[in-house]
Amino acid sequence: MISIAGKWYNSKTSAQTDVICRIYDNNAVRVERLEDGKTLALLSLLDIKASPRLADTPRRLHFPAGEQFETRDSKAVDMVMSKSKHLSRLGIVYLLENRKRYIILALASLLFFMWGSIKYGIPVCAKLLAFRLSPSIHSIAGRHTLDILDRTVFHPSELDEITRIRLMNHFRPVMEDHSGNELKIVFRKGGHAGINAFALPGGTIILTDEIVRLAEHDDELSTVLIHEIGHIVHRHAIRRVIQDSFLGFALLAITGDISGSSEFFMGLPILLTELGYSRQFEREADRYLLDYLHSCDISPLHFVRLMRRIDQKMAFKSKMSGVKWLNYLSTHPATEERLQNFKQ
Amino acid sequence: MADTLYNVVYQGKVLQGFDFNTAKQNLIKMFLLSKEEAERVLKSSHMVLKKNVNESTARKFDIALKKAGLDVVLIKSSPKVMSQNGMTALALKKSILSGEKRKETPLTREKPVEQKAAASVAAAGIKPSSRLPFEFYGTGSEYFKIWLVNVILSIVTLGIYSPWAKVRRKQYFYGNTHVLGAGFEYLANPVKILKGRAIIVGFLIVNSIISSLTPIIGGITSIAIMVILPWLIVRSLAFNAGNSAIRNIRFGFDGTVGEAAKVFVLWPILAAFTLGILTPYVFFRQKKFIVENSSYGTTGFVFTATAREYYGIVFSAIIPIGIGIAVIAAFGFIFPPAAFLVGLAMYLYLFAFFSVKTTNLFYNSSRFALHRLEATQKIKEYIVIVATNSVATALTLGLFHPWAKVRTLRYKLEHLTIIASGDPDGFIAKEQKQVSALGEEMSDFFDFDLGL
Repeated sequence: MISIAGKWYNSKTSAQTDVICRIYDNNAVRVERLEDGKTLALLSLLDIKASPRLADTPRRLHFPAGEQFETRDSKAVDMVMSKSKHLSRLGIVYLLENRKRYIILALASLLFFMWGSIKYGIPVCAKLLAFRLSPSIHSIAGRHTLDILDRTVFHPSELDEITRIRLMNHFRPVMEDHSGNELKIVFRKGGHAGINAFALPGGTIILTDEIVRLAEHDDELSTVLIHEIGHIVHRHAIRRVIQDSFLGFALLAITGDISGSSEFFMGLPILLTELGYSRQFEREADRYLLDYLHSCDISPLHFVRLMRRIDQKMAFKSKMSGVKWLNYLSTHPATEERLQNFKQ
Repeated sequence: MADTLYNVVYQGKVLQGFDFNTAKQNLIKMFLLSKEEAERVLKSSHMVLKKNVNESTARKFDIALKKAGLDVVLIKSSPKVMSQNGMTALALKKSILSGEKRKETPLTREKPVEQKAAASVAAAGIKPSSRLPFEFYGTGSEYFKIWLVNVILSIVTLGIYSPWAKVRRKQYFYGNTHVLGAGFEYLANPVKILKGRAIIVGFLIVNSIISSLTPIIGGITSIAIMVILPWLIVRSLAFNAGNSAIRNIRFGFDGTVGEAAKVFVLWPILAAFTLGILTPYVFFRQKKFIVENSSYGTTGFVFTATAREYYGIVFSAIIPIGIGIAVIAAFGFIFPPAAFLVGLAMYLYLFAFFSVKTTNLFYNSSRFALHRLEATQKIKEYIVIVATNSVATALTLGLFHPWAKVRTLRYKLEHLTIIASGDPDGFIAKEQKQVSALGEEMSDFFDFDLGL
């Protein structure tokens, strides 16, 4: 016979009674009141369900009529329930949680899994998916993005007609080389975005008035265009969206809830990862540009000069460029690092 | 002495902490008096409520009446007085007995320790409340192991294990939260959650495919989601409450979908039109909706906060926000990187400010039966916890999360107390209603917690 001390709850009120639950060798279970030994329940062990063991939380025996026996003596409950058919499969989970070597193994595999998916898994999956999506999805996404940017950031371009036609003519050879990509160039006044160029999914490239004015040679703008074409050829915009949603999903899976709220910048590791991805994309686009420049007669130095000028213009950024660690908080690799390859 | 008889005498006033109306309601509820009878008792300056009873009966009435809020004394009597004023005593006696019988069952069952507790509750009739703090026994390292195994099993099973993981996580936190000498219990069935998640994931995939092919239909499904949102919220609250229990009595939620549509869709839209001026009011309405439709057993919760108090929180935030903006602007000119740090600090402060203020107000305004809750979180303490949690989580790439979660929860629970007046044993279970399966499943995906 096994006797377990605990609390008894009838299913009707919140009243709490101290009881002893006795399990006899013939599988009979008797619940008796501690105070006077009165029998409160008498039935077979086979009719009773036990809650699974979980750390040191109270264990409960659920009786068929809805009554409940609550105890802290988890070991005794396990001993009893091993005789019953209702042995929970979650016992294995308890075992996993309480053996040091399993925990160390689990931790190691989790770290390995996290590293692997951030470094390879997510980017590779996103790339595969991005190249499989139908072109219509890319162009719809591009149109939506342009709509939103037009409403929130951009203003209509203030460049005169002549400049625009001149540039379009200048870009023609580059555009003809990429006729399969359905490229489209649009000009916008950058607003907050300032000196900048964007590649949207579906092949739309935006040049801001500010960058056009900053350029001293049309070939400088050609290099920017080719860099952005690099983003489009590699489908970076869509890949970024896919990667971000993968990461968000991973966070959800790991923490179990987004509303965890106690870590208000829980998102920091994710932000760092996203910025890392972004810098990778920039390098990829730079590589595309460099490869392309080798095959035509535009000098890589045009890109170098424009980048330097942008750097100087953005005094705020250039002030920080000396600080190495800020690199991790930037969407682009440091300018000097980028230009290294172009100067050779 | 068995032969000593007592009179239970009302002295013409209610105990501190009670007013005339609550005492009246209690008399009606506990002793099944009519309204007039109860008023007659309470308005009298001196009335013998129970005559010539033995000591133990007299004590029971003493306790019960003090719980109801009446200042009564026991006075030794001699059998001779019996005939005087017999009618009143008889009428009351009958009703008191029928009321008392209901109470008797739990009382006699208790062992000596519990009787002491009952006595202390009775003493609480004189000093009308006792403090029953929440306790949390969980530890970070324990939860770390549970969390780790949950994550690994979810990954290995490609997410199929995740409902079991969720239930295990909740059971860990519930089981380690104790109050009134018992632990909470989470009873959701993982298989149901799995079905619900499968339905939702399927729906999302189909929806995203359709909306990318034909945006118009995608728009229609988005509107459809808006329309069923109130239903989802109600189901979700009902699912969570219905699967939470303490002392083998479940919580419940029976808000209507119509009301939910008002507070979660209609009011927020109006608030957007008023440039957010209505937002604190909407927030207040949502909290009120949640609390007032929640119940423990058959006992409903009451929410006593006012919209004015929520506006008060927002107004008291204006000064720190103003100072913060001024400092950021100043640094913006002098040394921009510092402005970024100040901005971060301000964000942290406001996050803690609103979290602490709204949580305290929420709990301090929630009552059930004669009990109320008291939350005493402090902004400064909470900031320290949130800041250290955030830094540690970021530095460990998220591995600190289990400790962070436990630390936050422990802080919250250690600053939460039930101010009880009356008997924690008297809550009655409700007949279990079956919530429709689909409702449970879908709602679970949009998991909606009361914020603990």
